[in-house]
Amino acid sequence: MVEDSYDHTKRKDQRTGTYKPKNIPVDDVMNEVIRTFSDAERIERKGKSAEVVVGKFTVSETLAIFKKRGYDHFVALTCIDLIEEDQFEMVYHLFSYGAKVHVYLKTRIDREGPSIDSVIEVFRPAITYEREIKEMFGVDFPGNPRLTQFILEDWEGPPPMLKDFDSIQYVQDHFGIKVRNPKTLPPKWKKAGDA
Amino acid sequence: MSEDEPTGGLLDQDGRPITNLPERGFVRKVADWASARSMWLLWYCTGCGAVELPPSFTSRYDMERYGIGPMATPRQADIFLITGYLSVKTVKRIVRSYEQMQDPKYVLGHGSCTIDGGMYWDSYATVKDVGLYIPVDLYIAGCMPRPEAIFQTFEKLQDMIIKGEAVGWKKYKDNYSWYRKNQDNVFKRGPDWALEEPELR
Repeated sequence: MVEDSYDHTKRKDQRTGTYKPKNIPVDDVMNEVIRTFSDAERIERKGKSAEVVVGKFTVSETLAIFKKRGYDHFVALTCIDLIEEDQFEMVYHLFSYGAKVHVYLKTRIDREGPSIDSVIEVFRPAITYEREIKEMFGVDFPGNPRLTQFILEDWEGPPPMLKDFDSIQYVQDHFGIKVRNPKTLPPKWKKAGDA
Repeated sequence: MSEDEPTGGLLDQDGRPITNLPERGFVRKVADWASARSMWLLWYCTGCGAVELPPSFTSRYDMERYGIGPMATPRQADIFLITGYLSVKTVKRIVRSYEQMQDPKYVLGHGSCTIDGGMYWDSYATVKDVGLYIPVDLYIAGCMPRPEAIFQTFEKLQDMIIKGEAVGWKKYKDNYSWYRKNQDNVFKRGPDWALEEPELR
């Protein structure tokens, strides 16, 4: 269990009773992250956003640091299929309502047998994002108790969002229809520029 | 369902089911003439086609001129209007709704997505031809068809009913094994499929 000393009651202004988000500059938090984890690396971005690349096993701890410092809105979890580098890139999107800064926390995992620890102990909403990525990319999340079938009903094929998923072949095999695409057209129908 | 099992009905040269037009007596002809002028419409609004239906219902085009009114449940509806693409998940609901409707029932496919998938032609999640899973009497081509096209289809459907040519429901009964094989290719009838198997003739 990741230590989480974050106290929601402290965010409330006791006098007015209104919500008051923490306003901590992103540079301070980034410096703390880089001091704590030797493999963390900050990547410069323009505007009100910040990006940091961390190792696969320190994602939960890094997210906990950000959450404690006011970056407590878990916006989304994204997976990118980098097929040429034989890796998946996971992007954890965070936002701070006080500092008004987006944080992109990135990490890379292997494409063969992809697996990364679940972060639901830090951010409970990630349970659904991880479920979706398990279905669409086949990434396993040990620690997530709810990796059941999500959007695709009765799906038996490979994960459909992978770059090497042949969508046209799948359509021809399953939906009983012959797809006409430039690759299968007779030569006399091809226009200049078709593959 | 195995491959060598007979389909039960007639197939045309494209492998699509066909059926013989039923013999109609005088009373049946009068009943068809009358029922073509009073039909309930069940509209299954998938995709973007739903935006064309409010003007069709309301005073601008006024569907009631043709005796066609909107209906909330499949069991009381005569026309099944499918307005857009069907994902694999949706086609399961379509088949359930269609099997709840009572004979005679007519299906209209609205928009190019029901014909060949339209802009979802290479999607892994969208079925391409609705006619493979339930019999479609008339397709309305276009993306999107305007309400004028819907009303032209209503007139055509009324003509077909009066002439006794709208026999999609009979096609489904005669060739149920053919449709069922296509349905089993894309979805499974789990234990929650509460309906009984349709009775074959």
